[in-house]
Amino acid sequence: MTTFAIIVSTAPTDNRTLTALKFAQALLTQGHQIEGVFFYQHGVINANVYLQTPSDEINHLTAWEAFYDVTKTPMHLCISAAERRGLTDSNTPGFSHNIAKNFTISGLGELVVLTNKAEKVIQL
Amino acid sequence: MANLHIVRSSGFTHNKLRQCLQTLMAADQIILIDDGVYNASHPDMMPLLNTHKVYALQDHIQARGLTPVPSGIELCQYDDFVALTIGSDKVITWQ
Repeated sequence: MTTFAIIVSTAPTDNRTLTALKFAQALLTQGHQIEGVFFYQHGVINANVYLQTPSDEINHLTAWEAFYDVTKTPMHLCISAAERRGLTDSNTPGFSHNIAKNFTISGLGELVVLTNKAEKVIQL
Repeated sequence: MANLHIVRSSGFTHNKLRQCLQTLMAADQIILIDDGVYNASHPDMMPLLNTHKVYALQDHIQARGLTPVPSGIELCQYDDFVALTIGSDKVITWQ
């Protein structure tokens, strides 16, 4: 068994995001462990609760949430990257918390921790 | 040990393939995924097929109608992709 950290930096509108999810699923199927998935750059948009997609397309938000429900793999969200892209964890007037519940609010420090813990770091 | 280079963009529209090839070491391996599979027929790739191991993700080749691929490129599945990352020293993504 090998331990992995995965960095997702592609938006839900990018079909490369599905590659990351499929890679993560293949890892776990083979019995490896994912220390965490770190959503960075445009990847943070995958955590927006307002994401909607046509019914015949993959909704990356619900796909990652389903992945979390089954695997309990920690999913970290870079809050600085998120706030730049209109995501917020604030409930103050004028804001509405729009980060999906399965994502942990994080920062680059957490990526350092993951990089340290995991034997392999893969950016997808 | 060797490094694995994951190429995710097409060399016909982006310069990541060229950057990848500039840093490629003798024992390194390449896997083409996503739009990177278009590089299967890129002129810059052709000389490499004799000197380096080059893989392409079969799902992504098929999704883009790129079959058959040139000989020298080995088609693989996600499971093989995982095994390649584990077998490599470092994994470098070009996207």
